[in-house]
Amino acid sequence: MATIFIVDDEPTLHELYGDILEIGGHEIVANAYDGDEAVEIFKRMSEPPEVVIMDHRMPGKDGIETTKEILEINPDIKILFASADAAIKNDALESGACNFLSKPFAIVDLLAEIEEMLAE
Amino acid sequence: MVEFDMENARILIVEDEAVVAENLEMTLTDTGYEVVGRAASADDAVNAAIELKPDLILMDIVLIGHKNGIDASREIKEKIDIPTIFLTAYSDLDLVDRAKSTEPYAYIIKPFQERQLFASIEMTLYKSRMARKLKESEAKFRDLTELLPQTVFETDEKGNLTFANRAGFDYFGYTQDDFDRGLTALQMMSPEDRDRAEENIGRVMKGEQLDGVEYTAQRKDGSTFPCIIYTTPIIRENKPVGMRGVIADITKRKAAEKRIEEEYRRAEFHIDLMGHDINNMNQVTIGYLDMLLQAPDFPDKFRKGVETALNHVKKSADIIYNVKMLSMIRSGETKLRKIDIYPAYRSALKAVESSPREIRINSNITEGRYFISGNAFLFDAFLNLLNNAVKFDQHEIVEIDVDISSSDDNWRIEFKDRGRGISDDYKKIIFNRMERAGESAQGSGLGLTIVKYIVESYGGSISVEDRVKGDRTQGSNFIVLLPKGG
Repeated sequence: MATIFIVDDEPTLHELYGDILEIGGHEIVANAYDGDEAVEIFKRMSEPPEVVIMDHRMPGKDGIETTKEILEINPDIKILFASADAAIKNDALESGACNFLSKPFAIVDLLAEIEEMLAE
Repeated sequence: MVEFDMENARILIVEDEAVVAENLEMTLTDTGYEVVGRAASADDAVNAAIELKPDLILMDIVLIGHKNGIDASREIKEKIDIPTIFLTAYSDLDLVDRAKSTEPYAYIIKPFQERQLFASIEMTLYKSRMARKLKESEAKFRDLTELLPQTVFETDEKGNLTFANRAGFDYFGYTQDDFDRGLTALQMMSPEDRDRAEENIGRVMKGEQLDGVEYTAQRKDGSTFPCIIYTTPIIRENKPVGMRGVIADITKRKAAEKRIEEEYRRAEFHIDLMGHDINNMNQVTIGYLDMLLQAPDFPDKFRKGVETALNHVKKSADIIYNVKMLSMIRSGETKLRKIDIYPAYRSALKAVESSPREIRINSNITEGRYFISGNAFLFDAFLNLLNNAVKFDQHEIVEIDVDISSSDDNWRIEFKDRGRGISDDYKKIIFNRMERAGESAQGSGLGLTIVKYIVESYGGSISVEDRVKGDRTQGSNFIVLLPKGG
């Protein structure tokens, strides 16, 4: 069971993440809908989440920039990139994300990825 | 009689002494020339020349009347170009000096041998023919040069313009006066291109021919236009003494290229936008269908339908992935590096083996042995080929052979399936889904087109033949050639 922070501009995906993560027994502790909001919320969190799920293409700051800023605040945060832009995989990993999921992914892939990150 | 290989040249004799003229005519006629007329005075000579248009005039210096042969020759010259040989007494040689101003072809000092006369006539006729041919050829090139809508120019070895055609003056806006005062090739270039132009002029002056170098040209009024220049050295006595070239205005071409580029970018943008957004939708659909299937109380009677729905959403995601991959390959965004064929093959194999059908793949591909210059898309090429082989094999157990061998500079990889085979007509078009756009390409996805694009982006090729020669029902053999290296 992990605490998870979802960053994605698509509200339906927040719902989906919620339903999937519930199956895995995880808890969503925060939701942000763009990069700026994500950084703001992250700064205010008293307890950092164990995993951040990060979209890339969002209004304003993109996922890579947001990842860098969050890691600057707390370098130990585990960030899982989940984007429909498969081509940015390398850039995402270079910016400090632990792993990259290409949308659309299967439920098992997401849950397995989170388990793996928690085990590390 | 001395034999000369001559045409029946038509000759006009201008001679005031009748006996001499008579003898001359007989000599010439015996030898095979045609004497078309005789004149004794300068005025008669001029009239006869204009009327008879002979090939050659034999012109005595001393004539009846107050005008001599040189006067006659000058008058004829003004009206018609006929080569002339002066016949002169030794005492009249100083007059011949004056005759140089009328460009005589030759003169003979009297008395002369027949042999001398014929040699002189033949030499003069020959020179005259050559001069005429040269003039015709010059006229031809001058006409073509002036008619050309492109600028044609010549320079000396320092790059000063020595010639420009009409189009050149029109394009660049200079006048004949400007030209006469002196213009250089570099002046025709925009300032930022002059260093490069100077360097290239240097290369031409060393004897190099430059085909199609693009520059920005600059007109007299400072305005510019894109152009392409072809230049070649002017060689005299084995040494470059200048250059000549053609300048073509490529404004229209550049505009068309820009428009194509913009359209292309727009199309890319739309593909990207659509792909991204549809994949987000697909994520939601896949997520919930997946979730339904995993629910412990999901009714079995709906399972097949939901699984089919899920598979098709995944296929739509695959299409987006493939279209994006194609556009990346086509745009040349992908970089090549040395890769081992094996890991890509191994990953594709794993993906295919996860299918519910029983699949046997026999292969001799091993790790660390087969290298090419490629990228991550090699996996997609293999996956598409293997999927294709599985899809069309109706047997209970799918069997595929994947054989690699060396073929000159290439690795030859054969994918042999036991599917229903491909008709000869279809073999020709099976890899060209893009070219068949618009047709209903029933049943065949982008798969093989993608393989072709990937393989070609590595400098390789793909073809298909029957696995068993002459019996298409035994399945197909897809042959991929990939250049060795990295």
